[in-house]
Amino acid sequence: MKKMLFIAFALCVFALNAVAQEIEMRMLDKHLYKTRVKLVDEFFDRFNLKELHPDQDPRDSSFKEKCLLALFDYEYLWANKDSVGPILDGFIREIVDSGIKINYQDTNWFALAKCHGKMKGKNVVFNLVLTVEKRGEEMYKWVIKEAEGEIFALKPAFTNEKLMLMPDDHETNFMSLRRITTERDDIILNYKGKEFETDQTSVFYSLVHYGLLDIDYVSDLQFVFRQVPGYEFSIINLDRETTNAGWLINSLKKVD
Amino acid sequence: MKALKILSIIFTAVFVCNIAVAQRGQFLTESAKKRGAEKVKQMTDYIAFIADKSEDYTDRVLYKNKAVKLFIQKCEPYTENFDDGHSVYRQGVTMEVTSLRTRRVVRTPLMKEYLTNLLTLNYDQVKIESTELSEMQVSNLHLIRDNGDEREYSCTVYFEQAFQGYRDGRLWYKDITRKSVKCQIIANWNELDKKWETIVRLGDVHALDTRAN
Repeated sequence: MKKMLFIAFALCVFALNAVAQEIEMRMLDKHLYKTRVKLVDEFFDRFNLKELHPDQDPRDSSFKEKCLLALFDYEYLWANKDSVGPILDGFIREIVDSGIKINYQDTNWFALAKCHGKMKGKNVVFNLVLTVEKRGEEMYKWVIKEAEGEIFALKPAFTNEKLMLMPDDHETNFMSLRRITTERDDIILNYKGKEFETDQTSVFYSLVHYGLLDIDYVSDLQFVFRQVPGYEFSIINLDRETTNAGWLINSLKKVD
Repeated sequence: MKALKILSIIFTAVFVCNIAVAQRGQFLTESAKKRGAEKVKQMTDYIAFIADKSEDYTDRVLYKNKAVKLFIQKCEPYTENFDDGHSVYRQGVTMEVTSLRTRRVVRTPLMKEYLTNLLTLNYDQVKIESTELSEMQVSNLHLIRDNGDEREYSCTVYFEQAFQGYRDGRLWYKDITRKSVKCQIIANWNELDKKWETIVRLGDVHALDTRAN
């Protein structure tokens, strides 16, 4: 474990020292381009050792471990050495020894997209969880699995015992249903059954379906992976002018 | 014995056909990805020419019109019609620019608008450098539709572009953007020539603007 941490630290120092020249002096830096994990597909290829980090030597006896280590955000490793350090070695050992690969078609990875949009003219923020779904022979698509956000967590503006459908409303053709949907909308949940729980994802779909919600853009995108038994890790796109940049692991934890 | 011979011939024929189909698929993957990168390289070359004020304006407009044709529906909005009679209006190809500094999308021009704006940049001289073709990163090819001898694929090509604008000989503006371009690839099997013929059209572009200020 200590050895792994030392290697990580050494690589971190090396990467931080490999900063490009001032922008006035250069246009594009080829070495930084090659080391950057530019696409999520490239992350998959490097994880699966199908593509190697340009700075790693295949003749090195621990080159597989170093290639996997190079997929981590070194700043994250250094800042969390106490919590991540103890599990990092086991994680890399598990991958190298078992030869485990991660594949696009796997069902145990997902995308977490932080979305910015507009609902009735107001700016809103919420998250969408997306997974890959098979749609035929060798064909796949992304699907929205879950929506999560304050705007979908429907709560009545206030509750009051008097807000109810009367026990004899059935005798007047349930005219009261017209009242509860026209007099005030944001207390409608006072009329739900006690067993009923609102589903945020259905609320998201309803709002978009009826033209009430638009997504403007995705500000933060993260991919979470659960293919390595006993571990969960996630990647984000880290844009910086060092050899440790692009889609990198910024979170690792042990799971049951 | 005779039955065994016939079975072995059939088995061999099926085996050879499967190998041929697999090789056909693999060859298509490699050539389609290459064509996607080539199309993006063509786009970056056109962009550099369109923005170059030292070139004749008429030629720059000509290249702008060529560039537009690289994209789906020539960058125009269109109506996508479905077999059941329904249709969906599609906006023209867009470029979404995200600022690294603010983590926000700063603008989403239509690609046609972006290409037109390159003609009238407020600089005396412009330098644009893009990633070399051999170094463009191409994602895996994703199958969208398979009608046997006609297939549609999607992939993404990543490249970087550095821009410098000069006024009166002085550097006035500079940036580096990291771009991911969607590619639509339609492949048709040519039985006569025994090869796939591909048509590539470029789609939406995501650009990360890495300017610090």
